Amino acid sequence: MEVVSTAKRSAKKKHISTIRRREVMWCYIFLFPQLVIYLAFTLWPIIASYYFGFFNWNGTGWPTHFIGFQNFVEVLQDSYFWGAFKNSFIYTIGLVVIVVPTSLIVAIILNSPKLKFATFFRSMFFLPVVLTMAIVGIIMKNIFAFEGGFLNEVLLNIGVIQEPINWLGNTAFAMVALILVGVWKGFGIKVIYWLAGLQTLPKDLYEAARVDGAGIVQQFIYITLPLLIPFLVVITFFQTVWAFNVFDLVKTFTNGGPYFGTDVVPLYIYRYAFEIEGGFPRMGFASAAGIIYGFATMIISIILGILVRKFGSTKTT
Amino acid sequence: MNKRMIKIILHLLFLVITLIWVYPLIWTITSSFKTNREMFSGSTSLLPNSANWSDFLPWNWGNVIENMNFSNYVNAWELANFSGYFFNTVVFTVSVVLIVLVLCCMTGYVLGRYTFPGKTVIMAAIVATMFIPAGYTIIPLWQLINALGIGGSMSGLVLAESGGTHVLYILLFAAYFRGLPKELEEAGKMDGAGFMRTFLIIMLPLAKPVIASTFILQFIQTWNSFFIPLVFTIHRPDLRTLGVGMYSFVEDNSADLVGMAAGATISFIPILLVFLFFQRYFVDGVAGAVKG
Amino acid sequence: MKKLVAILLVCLFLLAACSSGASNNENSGDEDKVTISLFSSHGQFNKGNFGERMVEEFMEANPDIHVEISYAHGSNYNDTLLALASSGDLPDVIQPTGNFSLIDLIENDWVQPLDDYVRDGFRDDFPDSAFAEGINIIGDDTYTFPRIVAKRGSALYYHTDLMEEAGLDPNAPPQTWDELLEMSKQITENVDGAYGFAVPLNEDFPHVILLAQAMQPTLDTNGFDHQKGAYDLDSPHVIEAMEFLLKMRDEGVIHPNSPTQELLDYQGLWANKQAAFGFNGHHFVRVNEFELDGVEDYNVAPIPVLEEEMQHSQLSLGADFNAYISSTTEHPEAAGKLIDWFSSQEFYERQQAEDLLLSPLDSNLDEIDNEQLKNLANVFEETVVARPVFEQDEAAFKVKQEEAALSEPQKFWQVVQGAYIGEIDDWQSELTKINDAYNERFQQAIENVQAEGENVSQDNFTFPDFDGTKDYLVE
Repeated sequence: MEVVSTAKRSAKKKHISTIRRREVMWCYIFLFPQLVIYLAFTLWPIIASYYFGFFNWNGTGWPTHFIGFQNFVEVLQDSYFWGAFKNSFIYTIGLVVIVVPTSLIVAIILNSPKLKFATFFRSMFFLPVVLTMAIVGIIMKNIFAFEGGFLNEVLLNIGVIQEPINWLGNTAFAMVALILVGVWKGFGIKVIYWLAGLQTLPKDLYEAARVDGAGIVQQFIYITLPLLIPFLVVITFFQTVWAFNVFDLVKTFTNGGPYFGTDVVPLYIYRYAFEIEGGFPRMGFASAAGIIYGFATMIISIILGILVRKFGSTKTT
Repeated sequence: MNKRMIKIILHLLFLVITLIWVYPLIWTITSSFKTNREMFSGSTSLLPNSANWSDFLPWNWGNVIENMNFSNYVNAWELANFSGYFFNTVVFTVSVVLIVLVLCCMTGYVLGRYTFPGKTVIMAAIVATMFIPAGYTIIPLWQLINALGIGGSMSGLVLAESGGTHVLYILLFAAYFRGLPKELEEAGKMDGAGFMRTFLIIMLPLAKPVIASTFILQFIQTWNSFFIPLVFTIHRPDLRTLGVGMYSFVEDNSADLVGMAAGATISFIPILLVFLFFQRYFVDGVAGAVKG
Repeated sequence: MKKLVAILLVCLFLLAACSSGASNNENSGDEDKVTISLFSSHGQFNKGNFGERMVEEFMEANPDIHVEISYAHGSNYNDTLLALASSGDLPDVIQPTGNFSLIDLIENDWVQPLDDYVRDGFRDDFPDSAFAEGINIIGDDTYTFPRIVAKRGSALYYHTDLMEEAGLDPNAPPQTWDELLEMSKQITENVDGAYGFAVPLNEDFPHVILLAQAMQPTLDTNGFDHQKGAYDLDSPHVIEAMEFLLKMRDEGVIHPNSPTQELLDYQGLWANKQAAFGFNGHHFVRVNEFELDGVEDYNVAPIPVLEEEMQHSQLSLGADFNAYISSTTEHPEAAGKLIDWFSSQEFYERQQAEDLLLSPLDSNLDEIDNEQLKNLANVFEETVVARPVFEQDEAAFKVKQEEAALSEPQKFWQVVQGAYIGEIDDWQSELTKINDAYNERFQQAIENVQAEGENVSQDNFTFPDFDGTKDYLVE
C-alpha cells in the first residue's frame, strides 16, 4: 500500500512538474519576441550609441578613428550646446507652468454637471492632440508671421496691439510663440488626465463638506487638491519628459531660429547627425551630445520619480 | 431667470474660447481656397476675394467651383502625392499598433501572472530602459535596419518604429492581468485548457479595457510620429507618411502658401474625422491608461 | 462599433498590402530593359518640368533604357544622398548640390570616371575653360561636366511696376547703395503693402558679401580672399556693407519678415511683389517662371555699388559640375548614354530656350528670347570674373578637404542674422572672432596635410597678381 501511494504521489509530482515545465516553456515562448526586439532595438542601439561617442566618424562605414573623450569635452565646452540646453529648460518650465494649472481649470469646468454639451467642448480641446506635430509647426509658422500673419492681423484689428509683433524674428517672442504652440498641442491630453483624476474623487466627501458648510473654493482647496496630488505629479512628469524631448515642433516651426533663440538640444544633435551644410555629419559628436543630454534627462526623471513614489505612497495609506 | 442668463453667458464665453482654440484649423481650411497673392498680403476673411457667400446658394452652385480655387487641391494632390502619403500613414500606423499590442499583451500577461526563473531580471531590464540615458540611438537603429536588409522599405520603417520597449504598456498589461482573480485559470485547467487557450479564450477577452487604452495611445503616437519616418524614408519619397510628406512639400514649395494649406487640410481631415467619430473611445482610452 | 473599426482597419490594411504588391510587380517589367535611376537636386527635374520631358525623349530614343527620376532639394537632397550612400543604395546617376565637391565624392568612393561610357572626344565639345583639375576632372579622368554657363553669379532683380507706382523710372534701377536706399524708401512709403528690399536672413545667402565685392573683388562668397590667401570676413569693406544693411533696416525699408526667411520663402515673397528689390542667383529667372507662377514686370541689373564709378565684380570658377556616374552602378553604359544626352548641344540649346538656363557652350546672346534672361547674361558678362583655381594642386585640394572635415566655426550668415535682429550688439568683434576661427581652421588643415608629407602652404592659395577685375587665366 505504502509503495503504491508513493509511486502515485511521485507520478502526480512528475505530472505537476511537467505541467510546470510546460508552463515555464510557454512563458519563455511568450517573452521571446519581446526579448529579441528588446535586445536588438533597445539594448543594442544604446550600447552602440555609447560606443560611437568615442569616435570621430562621419557615419559612412564603421567608425575606426578612436579619439577618447574628445567629443564629450567638446560638447561640454560648446556654448551652443548650453544655449540649446537652456532653451530646452525654458521651454519645459514654461509648458509645465502654463499647462498644468490651466488644464485643471478646464477639466473642472468640463466635469461640472451644470455644463451642457460637455462632450462637444471636450472634443474641441482634444482636437490638436490628434494632429501631426510637424503639420502643426508648418501651420503655425504662417499664423505667427510678421507681415500677413493671421495672429498679428487679428490682434491689430481688435486693438490689443498697436504695432505688429515680430513673433518669429525676435528670440524672446519666438520662444513665447513656441511655448504657446506647445501648450496648444498638448493641452487636450492633460485635460483628459485631469478628468480621469476628477472622476476618482469620492462624491460623499463633498456631500459631507457641504453639510459642514464648506463653499466651492474651500471644497477645492481642502478636498479636491489634496486628492489630486498624485495626478499632479504624474501629469507634471509626462509633460516634462515630453517637453524635454521636443523635436518635430521646433524643426518645422522655427527650426531653432532666429539666431539660436529656440534651438533645443534634440535639434542641436540632429544638426550634427543629419545636416551637412559645410562638411560631413559628425555622428560621434552627435552621439556624445545625446548621451550627455540623456544623463540630464535621467537626473530630472529621477527627481520626479522620487516625487511620484512619495506621493504615490501617501495615496495608498 | 437671472441665474439662467448667467449660465447662458458662461456657456457662450466658453464657446468663444473653444472656437479660438480650434481657429488655426479653420484658418488652414479657409486659406486652402485662396490665392497666394491674397495670402502674402495677409487676408483674414473666411472666403477668398473671388467668392461671395451667395455662391453657396444652391442656384449659384456653379460659381463655387470656379471661385473657390479648388485648383490648390488638385495641385497638392498631383504635385505632392498626398494620396500616397495618406495610404502609407494608414499602413504604417496600423502595422505598428498591431505589433506593439501583440508584443506588450503577451509580455505583460506572462510577467503579471506567472513566476519563472529569470523573471526579476527581465522585469528589471525592462524597467531600467526607462531610466538609462539612451544616447543618440537613431544611428545604430538605422544601421541595424540596413544590416537586416530592410532599409528603405515599409517593413523596415514599421520595425524601427515598433521596435523598442514600450515599458508603460507592458506595465499596464502586467498590472491588469495580475489583478484578475486566480480562479479563472483554475477553471480553465478543470476544463483542460492549455496555456495558449487560457490566454486566448479566458484572459484576452477580459483585457479589453487595457487593449483599448494601449491601442488608442499608440495610435495617436504613431500617427503623429515624425522623427523615425523622417530618417527612415529619407531616400524613399514614395514611402513617406503624411507628416514627413508635408514637411518635404513645404521644403520644396515654401512659397506656395495655399498649396501648403491644401496639403495640411488633406493631412488632418481624415484623422479629425476618425477622432470625431470615435472620440468616446479616444477619451476613455487615454483616461483608462492614466487611471491604471 | 468596435467590430466595425476592426473590419475597417483590416480592409485598409489589405488594400494597402495589395497596392504595394502591385507596384512591386511594375518594377520587374520586361527583362531586356535596363532601368537606371537618376537622383537630381535641380528643380528642372521635378515632376512635369523640362528635365522630365527631356528624359522622356531620351527613353523614346533608347527604348532599351528606362530612367527613373527622383529629386530633392538643398539639405533634403544632401541628407538623402548620404543616407543612400551609407545604406549602399547609390542611384546610378547623381546630380548633387554644391555642398559636395568632386573630392568629397571621390574620397567616399561614390563616383567613377565617365570617359569609358560617353562619346569619344567628350571634352572637345566644350570650351577650353570648361574643365579644371579638381573641379570636374582629375588628370585624364573626367568625372562630370558643365550644366549651365560657367560665368555666373548674382544680380539685382527689381519690379518695374512697383517702381512705376512709386513714381520712379522703371528703366533706371538703383546703381549705388544710396539709390537703393532712396528708392526703397519711396517704394515703402508709396506702394501699399510693399517694401523696398528683402533679404533671406535665415539662409546661407551672401547678400553682405555681394555688397562688399565691388570694393574687394578678390573676396568670394565664402569670405575667402584669393589675393590674400586667407579668410577676410572682418575686412573694412565687409563691415561697411554690413553697416549699410543695418542702416536699411533702421530706415524700415526691409521687409520685416526677412529675419525668418529662407531662400524659397524669400523668393516667394519677392515674386508676390511684397518687395521691389532683391538679390538672387542665376537660376532665379527659371524659378520665377516655372515655380512661382511667373511674375511679370520685372528686370535684372548688376548689384548696386557704393560709389558710382565702381563696378560690381564677382568671382566664379570657369569649370562646373553636373551629373556623375556612381561607383556602384550596374549599368554604366546606359548611364553614359544619358550623360551624352545631357551634354549634347541640342540639350543645352533647348535648356536655354525652354528652361531659361544659360548655356555653357558659346552661344549667341541675341538668340535668347526672354528679355530678363538676356539681361542677366549681359550682367554676368560685365561683372563675373574667373578666380584662380588653387584646386589644381593636389595638395591644396587635400587642404580644402581636410578643412571641411574639421569642426566648423559659427557661420557668417548666422552672425549677420544675429546682428540684424539685435541679438549680437558687438557684431564687429564677433566677425573678427569667426574670421580668426576660420583662418585658424584653415591653418590647421594646412598643417595636417603637411604632416602627411605633402608640400603645401598658404602660398598655394595666395595669388598676389590677381586683382579680381579680370579673369585669372591659367596655363
